[in-house]
Amino acid sequence: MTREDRDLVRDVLGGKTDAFGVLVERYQKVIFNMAYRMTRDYDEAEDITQVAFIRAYENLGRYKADHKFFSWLYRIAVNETLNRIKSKKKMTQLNPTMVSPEKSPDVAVGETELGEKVQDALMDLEPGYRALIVLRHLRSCSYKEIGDALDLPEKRVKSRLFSARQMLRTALVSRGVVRND
Amino acid sequence: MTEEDFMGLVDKVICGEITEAERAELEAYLKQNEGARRLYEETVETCELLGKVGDLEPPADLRKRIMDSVDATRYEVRSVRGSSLLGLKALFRPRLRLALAFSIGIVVGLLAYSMLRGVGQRPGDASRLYGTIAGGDFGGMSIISSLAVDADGIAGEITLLEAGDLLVVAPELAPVTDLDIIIEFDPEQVRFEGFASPDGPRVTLTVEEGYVASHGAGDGRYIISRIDTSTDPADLNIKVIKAGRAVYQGEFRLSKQR
Repeated sequence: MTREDRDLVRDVLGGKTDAFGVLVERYQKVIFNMAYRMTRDYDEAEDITQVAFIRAYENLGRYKADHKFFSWLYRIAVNETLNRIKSKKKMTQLNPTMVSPEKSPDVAVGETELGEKVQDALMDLEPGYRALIVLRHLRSCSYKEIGDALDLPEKRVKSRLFSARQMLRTALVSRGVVRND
Repeated sequence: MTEEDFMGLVDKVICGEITEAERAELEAYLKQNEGARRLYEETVETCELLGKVGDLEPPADLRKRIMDSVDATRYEVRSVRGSSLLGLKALFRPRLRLALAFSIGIVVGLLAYSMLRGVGQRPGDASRLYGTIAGGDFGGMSIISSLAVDADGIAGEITLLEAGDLLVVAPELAPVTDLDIIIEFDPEQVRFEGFASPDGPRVTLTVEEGYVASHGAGDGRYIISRIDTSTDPADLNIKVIKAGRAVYQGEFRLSKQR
């Protein structure tokens, strides 16, 4: 029988560290993919996932059981991702010779050509808007979950998401993936 | 149909949540509005393309590495040695009695010192104000993540000197109580979602977005939960009229105005 997240959290807080392993198993793929789609960097996504889980573990005592554990974890991971993107941008500005790491070959193999082009267009978006697209369309998060993760009211999530889609459309057009009739 | 209704229906189509009645309503609207139809078709096409982006498998050893990194003793349950009665008996041992009296003395001394300091604290002293501030890169906005104080009700003027690295309030920084900072502002310059204040004009910042906590502070003033602004955080100058109790922990770069 699958144990509820909150029961597992209770177990961890009660000293059963192994229960945290179940939570890692349950959500590592989701967190990893969110981070990868945001950064397009396999190693960075791996690192973000690791840090997000460690932070969640360290702060588990502050997790409120009336909230979804997954939403709470997601928020940590999204924050970590956005902070890293921002730090990297700052570093790139300080050192323009620095280039983004190439995708590892195994990742490229796993992507379809069209999928790669869509990801290229996604990377043209500002991280805040990219996050909205990734969370809604690639991770199927609800408006509430997105709002929780990005600290935005649901109404604003909806309006910004609409803008984000239009921005993505523009990027897809400029990259020749689709054309405006 | 309002733009918001239209957006809502388009979103429902994309997510496969639209009902037959809603679809009919949308179709009727699209027949009358060529621009809306084009937008609808473009949006649907864009979202279908997003479906071409698949999931990747994380590294096989990721779980192990995470579990190896966490401190397994962090939430270890300490076993109680002996009964509580034995513990009570121990209190009557002379050495422990002396240690206990000494400890109580120190605690009482510290309490008295902090009370005396409190008496001497001026109402405008904002030296204990702290919080987290984000840098500006969320849709081109700077975001002040939080402002908080570590004591009950202090007031004063603060200037945000530098933006931190947090884009939004991290859960580990979530306040124990609601964020409780009251500021005065000019309604002409400041736009908050869902409310307008009769008070002002005292503001020195321009706010593009933001929202307030669910409760007002009385006297027409409101409690600010978050402010988004494209103003350089270094240029912000917020007059804090009254700050409530909100406990945050973590990095902050906020300093009182000199």
